Amino acid sequence: MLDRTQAPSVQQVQKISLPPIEKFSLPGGGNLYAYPEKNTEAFRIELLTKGSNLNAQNAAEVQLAIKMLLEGTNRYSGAQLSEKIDELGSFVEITPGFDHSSISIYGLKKHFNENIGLLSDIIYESSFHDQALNTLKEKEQNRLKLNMQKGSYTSSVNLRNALFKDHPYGYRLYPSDINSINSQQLQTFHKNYTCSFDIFLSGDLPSNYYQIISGYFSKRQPEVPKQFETPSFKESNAPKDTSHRDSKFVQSSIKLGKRLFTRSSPDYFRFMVANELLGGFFGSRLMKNIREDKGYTYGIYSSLYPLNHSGYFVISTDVKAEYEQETIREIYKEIKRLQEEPVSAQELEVVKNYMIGNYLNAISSPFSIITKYKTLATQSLPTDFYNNYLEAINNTSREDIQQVLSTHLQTESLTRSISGFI
Amino acid sequence: MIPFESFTLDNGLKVIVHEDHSTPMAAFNLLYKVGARDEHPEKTGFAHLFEHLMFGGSRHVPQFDEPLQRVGGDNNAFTSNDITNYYITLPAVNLETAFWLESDRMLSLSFDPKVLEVQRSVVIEEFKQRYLNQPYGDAWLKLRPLAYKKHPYRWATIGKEIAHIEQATMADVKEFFYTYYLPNNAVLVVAGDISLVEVQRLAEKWFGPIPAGAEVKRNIPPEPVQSEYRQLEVEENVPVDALYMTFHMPGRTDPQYHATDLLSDVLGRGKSSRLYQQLLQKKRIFNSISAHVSGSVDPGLLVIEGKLNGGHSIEEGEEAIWNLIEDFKQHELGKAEVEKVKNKAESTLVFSELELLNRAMNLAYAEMLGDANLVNQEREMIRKVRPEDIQRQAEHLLVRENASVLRYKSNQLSNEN
Repeated sequence: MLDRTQAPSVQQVQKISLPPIEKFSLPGGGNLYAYPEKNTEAFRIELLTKGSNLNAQNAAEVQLAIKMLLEGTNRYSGAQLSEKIDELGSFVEITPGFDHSSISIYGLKKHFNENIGLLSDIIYESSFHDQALNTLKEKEQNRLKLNMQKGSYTSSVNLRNALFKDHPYGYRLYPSDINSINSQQLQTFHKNYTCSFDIFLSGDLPSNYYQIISGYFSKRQPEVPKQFETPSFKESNAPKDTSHRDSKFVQSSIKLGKRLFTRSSPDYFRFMVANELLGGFFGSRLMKNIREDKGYTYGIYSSLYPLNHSGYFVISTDVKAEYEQETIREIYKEIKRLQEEPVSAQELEVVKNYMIGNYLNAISSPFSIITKYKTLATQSLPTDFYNNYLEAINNTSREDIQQVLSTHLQTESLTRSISGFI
Repeated sequence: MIPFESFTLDNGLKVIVHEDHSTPMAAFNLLYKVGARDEHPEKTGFAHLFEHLMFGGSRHVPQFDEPLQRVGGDNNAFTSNDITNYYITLPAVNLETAFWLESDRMLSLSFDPKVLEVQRSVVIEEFKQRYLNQPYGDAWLKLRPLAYKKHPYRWATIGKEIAHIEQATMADVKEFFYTYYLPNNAVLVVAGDISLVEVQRLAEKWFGPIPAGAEVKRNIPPEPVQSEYRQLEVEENVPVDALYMTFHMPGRTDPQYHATDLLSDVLGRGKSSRLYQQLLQKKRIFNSISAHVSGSVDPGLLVIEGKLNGGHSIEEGEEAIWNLIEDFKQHELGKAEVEKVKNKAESTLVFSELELLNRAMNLAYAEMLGDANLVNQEREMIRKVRPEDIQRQAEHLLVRENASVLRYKSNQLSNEN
């Protein structure tokens, strides 16, 4: 007779290592990192550029500079460019960012050369036409207007802005900034920053991929001066309240956060385990309490966002308006409980195994291995950083959890940003 | 090409096995052939609420998530108008845990009243978060009953109204479970670093003892052919006017499905499409515009949706779309344009098959449609479509009598910039 109350035995994951990749220098500066994965028929190429918040005057400059790349080159109009991309069955992704902005193409192997040629055209021959810029600005203004009506957007932008103030990590979009940008300014930004990039390539590649890539991306890259850090990083991380009230909100979008650290922090892995327990996954303390016990929300999560020069931590949830304050009290209670009472060995084991399984899954999906190398390369981490993952997670003790949360997550240190009713 | 093998247990559970030894992971996808279209019109949102209850413990296992997390696994589920799909990814060495957990909740739930109470609130907050607290979030709640008058696609999976979720009882829960959550109403796909023999052994061991239930009989009223232009105008607190136009179209297994899907691509997929190039880029009437198909099992909808630019009225926008449609019908469709959308459709397939879990889901969905091997015939079906097939679908479907139009107006004072 089958005993359904007995769980099948658990097999531990013994070792995880990141497979090696290939690295080359590009003729005009910058590196090419490549991870060939056969039999997928598809590949991804990403230009990771310095055209990011760190080098920009405001968020609008970054957004428009990178998005204008798809609005036309000296050879193709914006319409023709879109036509070309679709004919090849390719997908283009534009990502403005804090440390880097990137442009990626997901393409079919059989059109490798055409895709690379097109990407080279996009980055080196971008036309920045005034009329295309005006249309794009109009689109961006409308997108911003729409976002400003979403509590989840305003609460998150307000929080980041409060944490980083005038530092580029704190930039937010303003309609006036979008309006005042001209194509001359964007071209200068493009030439000085976006044209400085590394290339990350993975998937089904032709054997002579390096020749092809170095042929198309051979131009001399601009020297980008060391990215600046403003003094605001050194100021105290004082708690603030940046709540935004509007009668149209049906729920309260709550964000609690603070500035924390990068992946280089000695506390990084221990904090990751502690964060997972607090709000990192579906079985977290916060999810169990606020959703699964009380039913106040559809979901609640906490995350650490490690950037190149700093990092920030956020707890995020959308709750029934009348339970807004109680939810915040419960969040504080859960943090204090993890600081004061050691977690059971059983709970800690669940969270560690979950993280390890998740990591194993994350590095076995297509294009994900190169992403890990991207993090290593851009955040100046030791090459064995990810290979130590398993050990670092497993070595985290119950005391570590208490200690790391007591050090970094005193509830009084959290900044509060709510978009809600009243 | 997704290679697979399949077998059926005595209780009717269909099992499909896709081996891929390039990964250390396994994907375990269990699809139940039940969705919002199976709900009673006065108890809508139930299939989805039920999906939440499936995580609240089963007869022999008080907790679903934790034992899975303990073995490094992750899971989730979704409900559509046609199906409810549960999926797990975990290290393949721990595959048996997935069999243990999924088979126990197919056998019987715990039917814990506290779980029903809590998940009822969670789903109501989900309703608010996704549909009410987002600009235009409720557009589909208004569009569905405009386009469908009889067929249960007239309500969304979240339900017609919050009250239906509030009124769900434990008796409803049990009845639903014993009607639909049966081995003979499900498709299991196991994929990844596993073997056919091992899956056979585990399927017999864990699912074999679950008794089959009465065959599921559907009595879904078909949607009568629409014969008049329909329009609904609403005013809401949104930043700009938005326009939604729907046209009835064939269901997922109809021979004309792919031609209709490609028609929506030519009209409005991406920045090189006609709607985008003509009405956004050139005429600048719209600020965003696109077209897609709903892809449902029963006859679905081809949808055109866009947001207007300041200074252009909704009436002008709709007029411009009708003119573009007429222009499309009157000129022969070029081979190059069709080739372009076919290439894109084909590469979309390639990309959707990169992830192990997606392959498992695609196999399960195809089997639910009637044959798992449909996943491997999809490219051929797209390739076979001729320009004249697309044109014929346009002439046939894109007419006023087949249109339901939602004019979603902004009541905010315009702030021209």
